[in-house]
Amino acid sequence: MIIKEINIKNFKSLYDVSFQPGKVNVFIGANGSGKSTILEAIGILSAAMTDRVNNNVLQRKGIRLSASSLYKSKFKTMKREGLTVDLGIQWVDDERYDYTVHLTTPTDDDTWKYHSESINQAENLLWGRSNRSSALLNHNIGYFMVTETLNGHRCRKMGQYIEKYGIYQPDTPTLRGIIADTTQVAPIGLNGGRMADALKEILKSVDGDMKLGTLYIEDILDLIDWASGFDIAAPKKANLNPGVPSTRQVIEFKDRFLKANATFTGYDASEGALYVLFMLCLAMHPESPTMFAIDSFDHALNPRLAKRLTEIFSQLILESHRTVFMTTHNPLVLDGLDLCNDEIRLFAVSRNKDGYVVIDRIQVSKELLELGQPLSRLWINGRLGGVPELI
Amino acid sequence: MRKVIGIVGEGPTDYMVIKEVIDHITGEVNEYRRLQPEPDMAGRFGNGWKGVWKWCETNSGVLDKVLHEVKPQIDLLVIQIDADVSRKEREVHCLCGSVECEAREESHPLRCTKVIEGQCPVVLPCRKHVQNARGYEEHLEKMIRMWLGTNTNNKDVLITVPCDSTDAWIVAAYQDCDYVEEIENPWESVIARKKDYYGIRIPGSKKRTSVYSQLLPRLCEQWERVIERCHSAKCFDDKVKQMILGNNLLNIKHNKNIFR
Repeated sequence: MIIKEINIKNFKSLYDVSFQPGKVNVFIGANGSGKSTILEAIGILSAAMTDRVNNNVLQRKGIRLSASSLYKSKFKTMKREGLTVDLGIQWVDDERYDYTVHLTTPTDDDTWKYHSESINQAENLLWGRSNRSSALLNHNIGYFMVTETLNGHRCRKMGQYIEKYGIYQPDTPTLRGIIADTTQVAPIGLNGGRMADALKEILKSVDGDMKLGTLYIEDILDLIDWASGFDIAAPKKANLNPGVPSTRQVIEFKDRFLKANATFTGYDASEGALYVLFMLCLAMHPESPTMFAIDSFDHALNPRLAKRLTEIFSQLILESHRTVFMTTHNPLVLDGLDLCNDEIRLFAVSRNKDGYVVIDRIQVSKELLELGQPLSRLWINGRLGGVPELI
Repeated sequence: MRKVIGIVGEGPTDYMVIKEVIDHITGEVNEYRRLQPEPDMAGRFGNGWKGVWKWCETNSGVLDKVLHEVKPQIDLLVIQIDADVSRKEREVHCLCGSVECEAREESHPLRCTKVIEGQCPVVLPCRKHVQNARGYEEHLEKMIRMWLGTNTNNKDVLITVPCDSTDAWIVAAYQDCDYVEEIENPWESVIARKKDYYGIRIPGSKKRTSVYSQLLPRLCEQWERVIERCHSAKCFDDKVKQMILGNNLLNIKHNKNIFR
């Protein structure tokens, strides 16, 4: 199953955009260019296709709740405000499928209403609904995953693939376990809640070697160079001050410069280590969503670490057949992307003269990269776009 | 048809002017990339005319690849440097050979210790050039070609040298004055001389992008008048028409001989 295109119309600054994603999709752009809005639009598409769209669902997916009137595009240059927010996804799974939904934004409550919804197979309508349909349908819920017409149909696989989509934005207090994750989902919260438990679920001994998911612990310790090991255990007085709030399970680190019994928990560890473990867990946990987004992938990471983690993370995403959309402001993240692999794609997000978001896929020849023009430099120098122009 | 245009210019306000004017001439909302060099460790050469010089030299060997081997490709590269540089800066006359200097062979003009220590022997105005707008323009265009490592016209590179600076084009759009290109430092001497310029508030003497965004609509509205009064604007207009619109009309973009 290959996603060919995602279309977004009339949603905030995304007046009319479409892009062809790969499996690993990185968005770069100036602050306020619309990167996070793209992640949110995909979230709304996921909710509309597989469930319904209301505040509760949007919050669970990590989407900012806006005033209802602000969901639709409101550009000065628009002659007339659009009636609906239109979202679509096209994919190929032997045949080409095209799902489209038109939603009206909430008026009297927090529920978005389905104006129309349809699925095409090779340009032929498989199923559809609209305000004019004769069937008595609840306009508050999506029918793609529940209509009997599509029972057992292959096109439902995309619904299952996109269903658990959420926008992950880990924060340090949640990763340290000192505050609860307000967006807790299985296996790991959007802000990093329950990380120790999720790590424990994929930490195992294989032929005498410790592995986290598919990676040897030694590979992970290469990324966290001060650590000589880590484990998951209940907090103890010896490694966590009893005055610190804690989760049932904590990550217990060993520092290679300290005595063996001087272990400490994620509360005292460097935040970079926690972000590394978070990303790896998300990419490898069997219950992680098959499609998800990470806003600010590079947060708290040293540039070199960000580059190496990007390489490993991308590889894990490809191996597990997942799709990820992520944003970054760190040039070194780009140097960790193998753009020669067509499944790894880079997009520059910018606003045109009228403020409308424009998405450009960036492709760079191998020859240019080998000439000593790494992606990070091309980005900083303005060649890729995705930079504030007037600074 | 919308083009992707790279601009290497002295600063953000020059970038704004060039963008607006190109869109006006072509009647399209083109896509732009503001290309800038990385500053050195002392924070120098990331901006201004020295930044333009550095960008050209850094990219001279890989220019074609930088323009065409990143998609979206750059259809046209615009390089801008103000003519006041030729009038005021000794470094750009180092290689004119108007005076003897033993450091010429050994050091790069941008990093020459003689310049840093205030001992550069170059005398301004340089006697190798005609001392007027066209003389400055010719000199700097030749310099830019040298920095880029090409003496011939490149079909993808448009060089513009506004005289005395891009601000002269703005003045020409707002005021009826003769010889506008001969006004030295039109920003300070005309636009920012008072707090108010044709109803636009000018806070201090610093060039601000917010002020420029108010000045630009009239520049475009009055562009025909500007090209009548500014030779440098006329040259720019001609080149844009030839290199962008000419390409479209003739649809022979890849004919290498067309602009040579």
